[in-house]
Amino acid sequence: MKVPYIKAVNDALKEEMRRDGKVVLYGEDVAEFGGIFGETRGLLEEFGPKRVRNTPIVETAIVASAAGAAMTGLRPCVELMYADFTMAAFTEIFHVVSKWRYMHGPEYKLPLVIRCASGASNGAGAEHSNVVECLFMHAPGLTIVTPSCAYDAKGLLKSAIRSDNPVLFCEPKQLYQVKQDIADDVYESDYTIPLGLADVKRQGRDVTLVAVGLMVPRALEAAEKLSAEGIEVEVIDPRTLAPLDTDTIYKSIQKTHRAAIVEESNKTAGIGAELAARFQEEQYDELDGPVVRIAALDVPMPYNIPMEKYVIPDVERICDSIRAMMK
Amino acid sequence: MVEGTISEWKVPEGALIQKGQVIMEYENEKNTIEYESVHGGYLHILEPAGETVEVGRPIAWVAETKEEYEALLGTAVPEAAPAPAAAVSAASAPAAAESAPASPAPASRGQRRVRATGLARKMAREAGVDLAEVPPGSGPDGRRIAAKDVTAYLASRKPAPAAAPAPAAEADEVTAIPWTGVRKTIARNMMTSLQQSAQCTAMCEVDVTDLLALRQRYVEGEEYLGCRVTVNDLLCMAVCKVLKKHPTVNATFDGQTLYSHSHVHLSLAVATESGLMVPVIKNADTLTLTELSAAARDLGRRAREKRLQNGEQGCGTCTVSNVGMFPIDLSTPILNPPEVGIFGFGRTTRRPGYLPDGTLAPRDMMWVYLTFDHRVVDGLEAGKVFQDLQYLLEHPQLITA
Repeated sequence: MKVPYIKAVNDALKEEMRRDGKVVLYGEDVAEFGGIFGETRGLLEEFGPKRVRNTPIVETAIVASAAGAAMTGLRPCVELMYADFTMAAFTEIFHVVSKWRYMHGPEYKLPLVIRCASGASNGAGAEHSNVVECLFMHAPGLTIVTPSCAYDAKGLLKSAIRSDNPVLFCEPKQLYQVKQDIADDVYESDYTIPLGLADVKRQGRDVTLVAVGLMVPRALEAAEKLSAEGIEVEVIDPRTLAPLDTDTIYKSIQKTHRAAIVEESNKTAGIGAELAARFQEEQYDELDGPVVRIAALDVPMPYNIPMEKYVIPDVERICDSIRAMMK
Repeated sequence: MVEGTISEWKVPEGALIQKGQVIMEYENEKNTIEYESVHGGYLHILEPAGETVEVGRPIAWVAETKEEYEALLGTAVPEAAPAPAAAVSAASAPAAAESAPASPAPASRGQRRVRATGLARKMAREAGVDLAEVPPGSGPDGRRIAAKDVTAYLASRKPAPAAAPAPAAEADEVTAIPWTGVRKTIARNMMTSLQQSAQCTAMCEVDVTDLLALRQRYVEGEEYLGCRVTVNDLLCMAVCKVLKKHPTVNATFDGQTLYSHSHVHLSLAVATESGLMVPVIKNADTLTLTELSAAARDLGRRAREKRLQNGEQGCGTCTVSNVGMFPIDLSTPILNPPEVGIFGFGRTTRRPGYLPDGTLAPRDMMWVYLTFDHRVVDGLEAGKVFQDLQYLLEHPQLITA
């Protein structure tokens, strides 16, 4: 069946709430309204107002209360709507959620998922278009997941809800309506995808291209184009940025000897900055050229839609960057 | 061509040059050649006029912008070095094809930083290749050595595949041996010598029966002399005596001027495992037989142990080469420039010979030969040298007199 990304998220929530009565869901407009993207549609009806509830616009309270609920026995799955709003709960995510298992000892668990819709779409502007994974990669203790397709979104969200560690779950909102063809029996099975496992989305011998979130389908399209030119790109989706599956990535680098990272974040201090640093530290002898970062321009995201498109890497920019590496 | 001398920089340091502009003149052994820049930009000279530079070594950087140029001046080892003006290899044939890889890299002017990728470094390390020898060519900016450059270099070092072998022929295993260090120097010196002088070899057979008998008496007196005198010691001493009498042969020649020396600085050709060495006995004509013997033994031993010091080679006025330990009667030795003569001594063989009274007797015979530079030494002079040498060797008591 053709599964939109947003349906996979909704189904994962539904299945986990059915499976485990301790899973509760709250956030802005998630109940009657069913979420501004329709991601929680039907959940209030099925699970009732004790398990599905709206909150005021206070991200601090959403995350702080969820941390307390998680430590005292529930498995909250909260939604912050736009990823940009994680900033309003920065202290809670950065200090409380990511550090408290470390600070308060092993008897405390933090089975908490913080979902958010990330990245640019339709001119949402500079305060509603950010991707935030790179900011929270700086917070040890937090699991960070960014699925790039419906199949991964469902399997990873179920694993995130079942994890006893706090998870920041980022959903690229440009992908919400993208449909993926998945066999019915597979989709309806209770499959999960382990956290911390990268996926080789396309094999290739010339360049290892690590693509995150929205950039994965674009990287695959670029790889298809470049293949016609004789350049074979291996596209790897880390899926979980923390912990990062370096085994899979390094195995690829040892084959291709060239590495690039494509991301929707700003280039400076982005995901690529961290990965490139690690690649050269740990794979120096395998690299036959500089590690290349393909990222958004270092500007606040414009409202203007053509400008917004210009800021984020597109297929042509990915192709150009890879071609330059092969010269 | 393995090296060239920069005769003149046609543009000053820092000048803005155009692609195709003549910026420098250099000379090899035969010609003076104009060098056209293959890049445009700001010139930063590394090797001043008068310097002799091996092919493949950068002689200048061309910076694309003024900022890059200034950055170059700031650091001796440029971090973001722009395109190197291809060194004097005008044909821009990979330098490696011409100059055998030398390791360690020439370090006379300090180690130049090699720009290479991590993978290229690993490959070079594993193949035992000095990256300084690998011509950069690919890489995004065309200056950084990448894996494919190392691969190409390794392939270029292998001999070109032979023409299709005869069907039944046994596979030929070819080992490529880089001609480096002493071997490289010897190869160049030999070639230079033969190409730049007019060499002629003359020879004659000498009766050394009495010389061997005299030497035997010295051996018997070893205890009193404090050393074991060799036949070669006596031959060297005889050569010194002859050279004192023929200063034209005890000389060095640079093509314009003949330098005749008042003393004999005798070069000894010493065969060692790593190649030919030619240490010099200074003022050999002033030494007694035992002093000469000790000096020859000391230099020979240190040459074999590679312990010769600076200045102990290459300052001779004539050379002696003795192959008597091998079944070689005579050879045509190659001059050791700028010397104009090299004496050779073959093996001794016992053969029937006539005594002055006409009776037949077993005699010890030895070929002696001389290669001389015919630009300097005429046949007449060479003939007189042989007359004197033969007389001395056949009347050996005169050698030490």
